[in-house]
Amino acid sequence: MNVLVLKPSRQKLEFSLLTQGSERSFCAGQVGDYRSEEASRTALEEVKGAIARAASANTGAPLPSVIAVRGVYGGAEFREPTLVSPNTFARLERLIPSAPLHIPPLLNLIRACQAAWLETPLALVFETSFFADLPAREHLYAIDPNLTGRPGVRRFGYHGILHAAACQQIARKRRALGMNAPARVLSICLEARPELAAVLGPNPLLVTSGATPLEGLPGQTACGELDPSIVLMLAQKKGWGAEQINDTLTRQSGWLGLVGRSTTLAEIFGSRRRECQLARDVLQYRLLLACGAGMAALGGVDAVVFSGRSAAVGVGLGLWLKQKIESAQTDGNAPITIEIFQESVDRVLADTAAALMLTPRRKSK
Amino acid sequence: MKVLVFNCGSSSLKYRLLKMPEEVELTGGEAQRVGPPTAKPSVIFYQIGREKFTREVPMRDHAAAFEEVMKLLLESPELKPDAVGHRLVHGGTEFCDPTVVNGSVMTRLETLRDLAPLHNPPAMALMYACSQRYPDLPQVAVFDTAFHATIPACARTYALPREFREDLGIRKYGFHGTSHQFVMEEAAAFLKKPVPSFNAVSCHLGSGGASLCAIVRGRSVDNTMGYSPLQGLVMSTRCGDLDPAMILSLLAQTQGDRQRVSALLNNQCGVLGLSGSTADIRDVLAQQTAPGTPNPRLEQTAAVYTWRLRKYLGAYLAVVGRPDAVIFTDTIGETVPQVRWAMASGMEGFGIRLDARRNDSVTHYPADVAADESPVRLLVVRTNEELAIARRTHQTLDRGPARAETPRERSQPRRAKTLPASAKKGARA
Amino acid sequence: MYTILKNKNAGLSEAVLAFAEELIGTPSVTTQEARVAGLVEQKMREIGYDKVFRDETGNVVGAIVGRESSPTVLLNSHLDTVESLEKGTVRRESDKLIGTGAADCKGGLAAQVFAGALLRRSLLPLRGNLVVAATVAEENGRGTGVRALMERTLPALGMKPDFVILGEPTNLGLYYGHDGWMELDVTVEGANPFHVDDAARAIASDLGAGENGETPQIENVFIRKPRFETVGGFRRATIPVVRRLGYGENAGQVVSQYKHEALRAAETSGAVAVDVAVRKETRRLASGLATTVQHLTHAWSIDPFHPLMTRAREALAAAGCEVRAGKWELGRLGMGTAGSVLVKEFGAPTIGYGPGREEQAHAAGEWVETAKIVEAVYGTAAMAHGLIGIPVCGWTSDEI
Repeated sequence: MNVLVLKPSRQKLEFSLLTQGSERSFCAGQVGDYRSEEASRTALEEVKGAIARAASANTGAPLPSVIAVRGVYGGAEFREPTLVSPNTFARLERLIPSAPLHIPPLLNLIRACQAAWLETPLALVFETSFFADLPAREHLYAIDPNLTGRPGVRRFGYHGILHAAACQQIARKRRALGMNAPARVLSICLEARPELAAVLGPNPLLVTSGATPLEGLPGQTACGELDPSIVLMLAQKKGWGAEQINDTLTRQSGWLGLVGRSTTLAEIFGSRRRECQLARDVLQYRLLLACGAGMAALGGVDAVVFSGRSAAVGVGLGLWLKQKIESAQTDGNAPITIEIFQESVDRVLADTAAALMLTPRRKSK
Repeated sequence: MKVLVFNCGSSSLKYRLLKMPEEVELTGGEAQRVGPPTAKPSVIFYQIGREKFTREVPMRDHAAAFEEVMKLLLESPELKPDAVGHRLVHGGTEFCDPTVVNGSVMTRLETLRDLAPLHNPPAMALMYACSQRYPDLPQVAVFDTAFHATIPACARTYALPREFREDLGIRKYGFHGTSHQFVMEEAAAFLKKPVPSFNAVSCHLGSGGASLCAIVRGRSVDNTMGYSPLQGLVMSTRCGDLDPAMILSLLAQTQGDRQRVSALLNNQCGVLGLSGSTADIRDVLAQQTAPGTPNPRLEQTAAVYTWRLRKYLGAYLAVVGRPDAVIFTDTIGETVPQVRWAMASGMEGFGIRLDARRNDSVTHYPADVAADESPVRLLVVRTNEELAIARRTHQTLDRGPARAETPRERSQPRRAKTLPASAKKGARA
Repeated sequence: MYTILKNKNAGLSEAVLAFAEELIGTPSVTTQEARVAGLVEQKMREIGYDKVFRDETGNVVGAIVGRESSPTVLLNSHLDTVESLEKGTVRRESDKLIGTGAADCKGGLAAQVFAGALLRRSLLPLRGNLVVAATVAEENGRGTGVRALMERTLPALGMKPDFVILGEPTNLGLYYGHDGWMELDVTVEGANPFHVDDAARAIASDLGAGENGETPQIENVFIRKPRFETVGGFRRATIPVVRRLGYGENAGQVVSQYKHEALRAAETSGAVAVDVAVRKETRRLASGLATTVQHLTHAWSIDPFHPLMTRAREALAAAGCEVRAGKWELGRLGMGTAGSVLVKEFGAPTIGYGPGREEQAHAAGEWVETAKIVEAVYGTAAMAHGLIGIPVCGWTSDEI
């Protein structure tokens, strides 16, 4: 089955065509602005062109059997991967206030996809779906939802696709070894916004992110967890409005703010540069706190798995965490395994979409 | 030495007179409804020995309340204080130890008003009044943040641009330090361990505010409260941890009405926000177990409250390693076995085993509610901030004023290695 | 979010300048705004405003409907210009558009119409409503268009504005008010022409007119030479007075003050009748309606720290625009803005933000900088989003 994977982000559209039986993608790349209806159409023409060009070098252009579109935010509305149907649009519309930058262009993109590949089914796979059933004790904030004007506000995770796949892989490995008890996994996704989820069997019980991806571990440019008073203090001392504070917290903070220049996880953990020291200490420490919280949530831990584009950083980081965790545990606990989940989101998305095509169509909500 | 300890609330003034170092309480009381006259009169409730008294007297501010309390004490010559100890919530990066109050200390305290606009001023009013009326009475300020001065950079740093961290003094300060330190010392003594090698997680669970403290070798290494007392656990009316974006949304929605957002987060969230009916977790737990139709909102409230505690307990256990003890204190920690149970059950991996029967029948303090085989002891310790302040006051004055007046020099080696530039700047200022 | 707005705005810049040029090139002296109104209406339809229509007064209204019914932001500019010699000609020099109404306020109007386009194109969802209204009869009609808009048109639409931004020239400063002007006629009537003449001269001199009756320029008051006429056996003298009205001054009180002074000055001049009144005039509007207007521009001001100012300031700062708060000077007689009607009569918090320079208003060879028009689109959209947009919090970063 050929799957065209589309990953819209804020300013660009990444695509990748994965064909059956081939590990590598047939063709991949990215196109620029896709946000308006018109731009979406143009962007998809470019994608088609790229596929055609790749085909002339190989043999014939493969037609996608399904298009997998990654959605960043599906709220409580999209609990699992969904094939686009006419009522999908209204469901997405309802999510706009919660993800105002992402949903409107996604709607345009879906319409443009339908026009560009008339008969090809469209699978929507959301990063948040894995966390849709996060227990209320974990997803609720200590705030009266009626006073905030946003009744449904709750915690989600934003790397569910990789967390789910990584935990499934661990479950498979354990089954092969004859271990059938649900695994207690600390799943750490190392992307521009790192995220830790504590997962018991197939169910997440805890995640570091919040109502938006801003909460949690410090990201490349996002601050992560903060004392709420700091936001109010910035408003007062700087005379800034919500927009400007948001800009600072999401685009000038995180590792960028700690190091003083842009950097990567690989540099922070791989180099011994002095200016990276504080960022490394803070990140390591916050991860350790999250691991401890996760262990309390799971009642122990069997495995730590790293995924995401910087998963390789987990090799060294994992050893440090393992040593720390084991020194916090009493003797007699089974040893913790450290895993690195190497697969790309594209492959996981393609597999998800393919699986969705093979299962009988469920009636969506 | 008779030490008079003051603890200011926003509209109340608690005091106790203790004979030190014997730690005998001579008298104590609380001035209530301090402030401009209201329908109900201002009143001092107090106790001498076993006898209880009330005195109605107008007290329009904390300085007036101080004056009335002093009048009351001086009526009996045996209650004349030799020294005064004040509880101050915020010592910034300036004050890492109890400090003898003098003019320059007051000047430095003034620079901290911004950090604790609600909490420090009443205590400072008291200090001013005291030094004016009784200039010969030595005063010592004991800071809630002082115990947390040892929190290392990795735990106190927010991932913000350097400008914010250094120029605006944005960092974790931590609170409830006096209480955490006190119960830690009590616990170490109870377990007959020396403080300098004592590791613990201390859970100060008050009926209002609450925080956890990670303690390594007798020093605080982390606290769930942060820059302000708003961060961390679910409290009675404070929200604890929130996504910063939610606060930004609230600001945008109210067209930038900071006061409204701040009042909401401080006074209408937490247990009250979750339950919609009560700010007291004890009510929630009682109603939850009471017969009748279950109330899902109350169940959720209890679950969120205890889950957050449990997460932080796990986090701090990972930081501390294998602690000697987990300490529970203050109103909720001391008197609500259900909360201790919800935190400690299923934590065997960390070496924590609660004995349910012991936990349910705590009659004296400190009490050990861990099972015999539990590697980590679970102690219920009664906090006594006034006694802690009296101890520090006595210690500070006992060491002689010459040394006590230069807390900065003494405190330097106690600090974490990497001093933020803001602290250095503050020192020069 | 601001990167998106900025990029999209760059894409719209040619279109907004072409539109501004077209507006300036279409003459629209007060009461003759119909043609230019047609252009605005058509552009709003092209852009895709949810509702576009012209009300009975001739105002053009375009609305983008938000997800919730409130709040509503009104972007308001007037369609009309003052009379001028160069009517209907427009020139585009390297960085300027030159022509009548360029600064006052067709540049601002073009920017406001395109602010809606920018929000649309950027796919930024709105919580409240955005209404853009191009109103008639501001320059000489004394706010007739805007009054009709506020009294009938917007209430009927269910969109009474919570905030108003005027596109009048502020050189992209945030203006929160200006002083007012009133024109008074002091009249002296009597059967004895000598008594009337004496009284009129006495009054003029007492009020501060110079020796020879020339218009003296005492800072805030202009007294003109008395005009004399004889009607039906009565001699009548009229002394026109123009006076600046400070914020907080009441026009009625000023009138009685002048009457008091005039009566006292005329006391010794025999039997004459003295009266003081605000000048009135009847006008026929482009839509055919007749209306009586008073020559009175109220001073108005909102608190410089009103939430509207604060939010506007915050949004501009966040968008990376220069923030400059101030007030209009109103250097010329008879100038004003719809703000006095909006604030004083309808209690609608109002500020001004437009690309033109104030000194260019009503000037010969009036011009507006093209770059300012383009920036005004961006700044106006940023402010409107701050006031009625769904806040984009926590989601800005590109990578999740």
